[in-house]
Amino acid sequence: MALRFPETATTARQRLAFLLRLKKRVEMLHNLIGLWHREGLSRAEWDDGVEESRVGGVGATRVRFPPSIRARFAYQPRITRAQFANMIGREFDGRMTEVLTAMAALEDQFHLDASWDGDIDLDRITEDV
Amino acid sequence: MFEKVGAYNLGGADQADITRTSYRGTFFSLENQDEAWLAKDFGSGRFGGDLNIQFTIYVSAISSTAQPFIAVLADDGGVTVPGENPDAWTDIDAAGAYALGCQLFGLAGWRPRIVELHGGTVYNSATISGCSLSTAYYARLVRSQNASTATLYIYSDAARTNLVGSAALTLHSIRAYDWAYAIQSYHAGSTQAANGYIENFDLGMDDYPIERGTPRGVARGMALGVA
Repeated sequence: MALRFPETATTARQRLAFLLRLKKRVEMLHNLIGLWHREGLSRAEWDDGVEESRVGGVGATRVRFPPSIRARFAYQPRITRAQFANMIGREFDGRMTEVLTAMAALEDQFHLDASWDGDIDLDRITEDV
Repeated sequence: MFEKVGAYNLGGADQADITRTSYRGTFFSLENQDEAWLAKDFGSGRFGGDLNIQFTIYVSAISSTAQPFIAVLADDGGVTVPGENPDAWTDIDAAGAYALGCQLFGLAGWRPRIVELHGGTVYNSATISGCSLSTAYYARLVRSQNASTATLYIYSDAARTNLVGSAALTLHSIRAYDWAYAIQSYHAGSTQAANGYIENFDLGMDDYPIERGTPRGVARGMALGVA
């Protein structure tokens, strides 16, 4: 499994913004699998997805399984706990690891970036006690 | 296997801020400045390698800058003799210890994050948003030895099928910890306080009956086939 950035994500800031949204989408993929186990999915929901507000998002964008998952798993109205655990292991864990690894690498890059040092004044932060 | 935190040791000058029943440790008016913990010594190097820790967390009130700790594993770091002297977070920090656990913040409801204490240096993950007060959440803290990462997952259901959010931290060491703290106070700052509880604290002990390594529960879950 490998992560590819969009061609338009060239700066560290753009890539971080992309990764934050991608992480949210991976979390919603987890929750779509969870919804399939807990409540089941209709054939229409399997084909067209569900509103992201049902799987941890806030908008009306529909979230559906990517083609690779739809090719590997046949539709059924509801999956068992064992099937849920299997899908999380096969489809969620690897994707989340890739995203988190990329985020950590980017974070390390930011940590080492001293370009802001001239603007840093530690007294801009005061403890509210 | 849920930890019987009711049998854990209460300690610190402000230990009255923590109460315990069989599987629940409750903190009430636990202030940043307080010294209190609910902990158990499992013996030298008990928690090594991959870790899979689960617990329920409930926060009913928290000041914006309160920062109590829960589900912390720590070693003596050459600071104490195993079996002796657990302490509050800032005190093990000052003593140069090693630890891995969760810290709670009173931001927009409340937010948890991963904290690592590495020989007296603190490293934090980003915080996880989306947690409301007076709502139970179900957490999983996973340490991967191979990847040198720790990941905290927060779910809204006990079956852990609905993920609220996650955060990860690249670790600076893979320590074998001795102590498990269900609750640990910050012991710095002033009166910023938090109320809540941790329950069904599962250290994955039944996943490590013979030797430390990959939790068997993970392998079992991934081995199940899809019809």
